Amino acid sequence: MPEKTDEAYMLDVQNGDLSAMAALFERYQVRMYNYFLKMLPDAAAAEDLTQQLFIRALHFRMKFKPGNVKAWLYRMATNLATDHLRMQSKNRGYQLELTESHETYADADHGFSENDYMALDRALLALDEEEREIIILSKYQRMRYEEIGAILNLSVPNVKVRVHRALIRLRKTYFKTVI
Amino acid sequence: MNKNECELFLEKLLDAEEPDQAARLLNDPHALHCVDCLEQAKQHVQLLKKMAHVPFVAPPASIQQHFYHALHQEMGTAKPPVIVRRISFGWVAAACLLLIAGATATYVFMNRNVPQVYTTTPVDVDTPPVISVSARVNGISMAADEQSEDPKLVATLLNILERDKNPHVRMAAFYGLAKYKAMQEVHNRLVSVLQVEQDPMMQVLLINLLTETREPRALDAIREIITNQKTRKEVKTLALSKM
Repeated sequence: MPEKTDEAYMLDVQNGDLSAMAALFERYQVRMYNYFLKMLPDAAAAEDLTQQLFIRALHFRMKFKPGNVKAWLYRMATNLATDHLRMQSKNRGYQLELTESHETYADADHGFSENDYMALDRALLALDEEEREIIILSKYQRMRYEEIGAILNLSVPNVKVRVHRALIRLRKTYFKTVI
Repeated sequence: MNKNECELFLEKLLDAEEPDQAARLLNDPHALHCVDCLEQAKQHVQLLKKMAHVPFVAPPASIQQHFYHALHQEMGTAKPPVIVRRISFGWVAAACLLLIAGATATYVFMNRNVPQVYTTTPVDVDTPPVISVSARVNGISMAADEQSEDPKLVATLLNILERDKNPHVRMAAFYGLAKYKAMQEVHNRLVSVLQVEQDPMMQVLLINLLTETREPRALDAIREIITNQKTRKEVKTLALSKM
């Protein structure tokens, strides 16, 4: 049986079948949590914002106009992340850095150690918010330029230029720290 | 080297969306003659490979609980308890597991050389302590976040799913069991639970899981849910769509 589309589920939700929202939640919660983890990168904040995101989607379900559900969810997510970072930056002395609870991993098959990934996460954090966001959407969430354009309201060429610039900056930052 | 050639090469490199595509450029005629561009290409390939292999982290069970709690409210079901926010610690393993069997409550600790979260409280069988719903949900969340496949944990979660009177606690147990859904024993018990479960949200969760895993024995239980006049409309709609 072909999988039901996000838009079909959203239509069900708006027609009163709230259980369809559960299907969207199950489909996107892992991606959204990981998006916040990379953007913030505080695990407690990521958990908080993921919860907020889906609660908002539930409460504002009738405001969704027929269209791209995935882009709608991600737009809410990017707004939540931006608001959170803005609030944090108002705290004097606040610095974006990896916390104790930061998830570490290694990839022995490809010869990448935990330190490699920690260095990569630090380099990602050193980017400005917009650069980090576009790298996360493009390389970690593995979205096509068209999808990213729909979320950020940018043309495909514009997305491409921004991804390129962010990649150059990420590469320079990362290899400056590992050398 | 012609600056324009370097710019064109860099453009090609950045256009490569996958590590393999970028790796092919290491043999590009320009790269073979430009040390600087070759070095950039090698770095770029390494970077893309690393990013391509970053695993997704499993979200904590509390996110699901919080969402379904809110969904429950929207669907107009019984007033839920306050969900206590789980405090995250910087250590791995050790959980407080609450076994609830009838009127007796016991705290079981799975010690793995890490600080204990709760202190032991002697339990008088005749006058069992009242354990709040939020404390039970919290305890299950923490236990469920354990990564190891402990048969005792699975058995306990199944017990809670089958016997706890509160649907939020049963929901927490359900989510704790989700990662064991491939185990036949878990499957069998989930079907049994579906046959008797009355809470609409629990019915939704069970139907979703058992139809996702295409469990044939669940079909009779789902048919019963559809024909039962007491079943909520939303649950019937979902059950029909899954059939």
